[in-house]
Amino acid sequence: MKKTILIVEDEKSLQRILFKKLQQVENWEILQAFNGQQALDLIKEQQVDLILLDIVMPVMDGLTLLQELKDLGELGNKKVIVLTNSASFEQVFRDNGVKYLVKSNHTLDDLVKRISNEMEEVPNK
Amino acid sequence: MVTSSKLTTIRRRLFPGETLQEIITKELQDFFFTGLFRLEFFLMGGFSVVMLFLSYQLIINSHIAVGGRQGALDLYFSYAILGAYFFCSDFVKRKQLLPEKPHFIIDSAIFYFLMSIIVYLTGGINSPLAFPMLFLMSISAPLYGSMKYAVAFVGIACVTYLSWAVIGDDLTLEFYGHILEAFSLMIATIIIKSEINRFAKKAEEYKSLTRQNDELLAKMKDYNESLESTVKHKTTELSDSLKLVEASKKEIENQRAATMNILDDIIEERNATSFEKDKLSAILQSIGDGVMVVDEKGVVTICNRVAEKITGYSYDEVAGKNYSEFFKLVYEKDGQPNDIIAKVFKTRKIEELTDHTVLIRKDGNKVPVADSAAPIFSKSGEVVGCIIVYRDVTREREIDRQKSEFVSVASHQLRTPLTSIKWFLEMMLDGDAGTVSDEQKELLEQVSESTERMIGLVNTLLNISRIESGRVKVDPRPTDLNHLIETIVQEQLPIATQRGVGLKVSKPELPVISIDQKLVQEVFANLLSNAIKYTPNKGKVALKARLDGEFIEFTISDTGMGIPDKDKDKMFHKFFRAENAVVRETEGNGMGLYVCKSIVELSGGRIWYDSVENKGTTFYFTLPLKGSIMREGEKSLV
Repeated sequence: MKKTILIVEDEKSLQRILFKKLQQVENWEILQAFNGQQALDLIKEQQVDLILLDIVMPVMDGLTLLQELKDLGELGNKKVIVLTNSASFEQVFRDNGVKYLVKSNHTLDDLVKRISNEMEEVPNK
Repeated sequence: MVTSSKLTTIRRRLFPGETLQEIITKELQDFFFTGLFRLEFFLMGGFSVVMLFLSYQLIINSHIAVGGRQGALDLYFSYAILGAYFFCSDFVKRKQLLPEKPHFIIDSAIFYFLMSIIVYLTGGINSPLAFPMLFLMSISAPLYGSMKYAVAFVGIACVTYLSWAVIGDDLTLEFYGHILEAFSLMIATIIIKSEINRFAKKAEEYKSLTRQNDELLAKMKDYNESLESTVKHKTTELSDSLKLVEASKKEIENQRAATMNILDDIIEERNATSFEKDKLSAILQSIGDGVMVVDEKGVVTICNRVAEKITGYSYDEVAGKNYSEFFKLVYEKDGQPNDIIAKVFKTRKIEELTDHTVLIRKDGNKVPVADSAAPIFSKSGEVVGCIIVYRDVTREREIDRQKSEFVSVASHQLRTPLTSIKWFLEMMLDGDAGTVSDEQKELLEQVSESTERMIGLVNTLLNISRIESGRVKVDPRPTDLNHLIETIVQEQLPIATQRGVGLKVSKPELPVISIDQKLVQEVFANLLSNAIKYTPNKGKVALKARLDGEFIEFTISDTGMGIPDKDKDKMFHKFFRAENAVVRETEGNGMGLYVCKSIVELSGGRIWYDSVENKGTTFYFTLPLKGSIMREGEKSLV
């Protein structure tokens, strides 16, 4: 059984490149959502192991999505890596213990490495 | 006039009442309504009438011989006199015309005299009226009010009876007549004597007045004499003085001129001072910040226009009041008071308001303010007051907020496409989009390098903005410095090797201290990469550390181009790059050292350097062994 990663990102080019890169990794199934609402709908239908979450998005932003998931009780069984270029949210995530990365400061390889580390903690199905 | 007024006084005393009618009414009233009911008058009057009636019956029936018709008339006449006398006696007693004793004596003498006449006329000692008469006398005696008089009266009655019996009634009559004469003489003597006394007294008074007059005259004479001699003396003195005055006048004239000169100077000086004061007051009023001055008790003495505007209280409202009554500063976060003036009085130092202090206006609104308060010292070094300067920072706050929002949006907007470029390049270089020729690869690497610089620049700008807004968070955690240094060196080593620069670390085993690792790492990375960047091939870069008292001192030295003397003051300035550095390396944004200085100082350390141009540079910085102090803020650096 494959482990599922959901990319929540409104920027099409970034969405595309992340999808392309992560797809290369064996045993990972990649899902895509272009805003928080789409992601929420997907999560309700399907098992997701890890969310790569952008913050600034139309319709529903990343912070609202996190709050929604928390309210639904869907957060406990998921890994979340916040992947953003915004400068104002460090404190929020640091306080919540969510992994937080500034996109422009990391290479794709580095990103894959970090995601792999997280995925190791997800039990095989 | 005197006599008439005296008479009036006596008249008033004897006959109270203003008009004649009044007087007569009063007297008749007294006689008929009051007098008849007085016991003595009633008894004596009544008794006399009874006696008169008895005598009349005795005479009519010829029981007594009164010597014919003439004798009877004499008897009735005696009764009439006796009755009249009763009225007189009563009148004298009622008006208190005589003292008690003489009145008694006269009374009894007249009474016995008249009794003796009646007894004499009715047959002397054998008269049938003799005993009733004596009885009448005996019962009337106590009416005088005292037993003493009663005894005397009865005594006199006995003596009278004895004298009738012994010397005969005619001689007794004569005897009483003489007594009455003696009494009238005695009364006349008393009156004359009192008049003589009065005259003697008057004479004495005149005598003493004359004496006083003489004395006064003598005194006046003396005074006159002394006055004359004084006038003489004064005249001499005056003429002497006049000469002196003449001399003094000249001197005074001179002094006056001098004084006038001084006065002119003083007035000039005063005008100048008043002008200065007005100028200072005008300046104070025109200062764009609120200025308030309180004395050592906290009473407001000065409050300029801007201060009035910010607080909403006019100077007139607060003058002479204690500042605490209206000047309320509180922390925005929890509303706790922040009494900066009390702090100044306590510390005797200048105090600055910490961020996020608000002032509660008169209308209850809150205004964010920035201010400082400074003690005012007297010449002897005592704190005699406090001056508070403050301004409304509402607008600054808003600008700050907008700036921070702009930075946040800009960083997102700038970094997103850069990330896209960066990652696509990475994929291409990795060959994910098909094989890349060596030539293509070289070009792609150049693009990648430029993209990294661009990302670096955006990050730096972001950091600068955060440092400037003063909201950088310092979050110290226990950090193993050995491990930290090792990590950084590992990062920098490939670049150093690539440039042919030797990188050497020499340090003792360092302790674990509490620092914000991310921030300190930035300092090391900056200083090391600078050292490597500006050191030529075969040069050396060394990182050293040593414990120095309460600090750890780090040294990063190179054998590079050094810093020109003329640029030495500006190295830590924002955007500044040394002249020789610009020539050699086009890369670099002049932000690194500015950020380093900011971080080191935020962490509780110090940074400085030594440099000789073309020989090399050594940067020093310290970190406190006890660790950095936690600093609340919204942002950490990227």
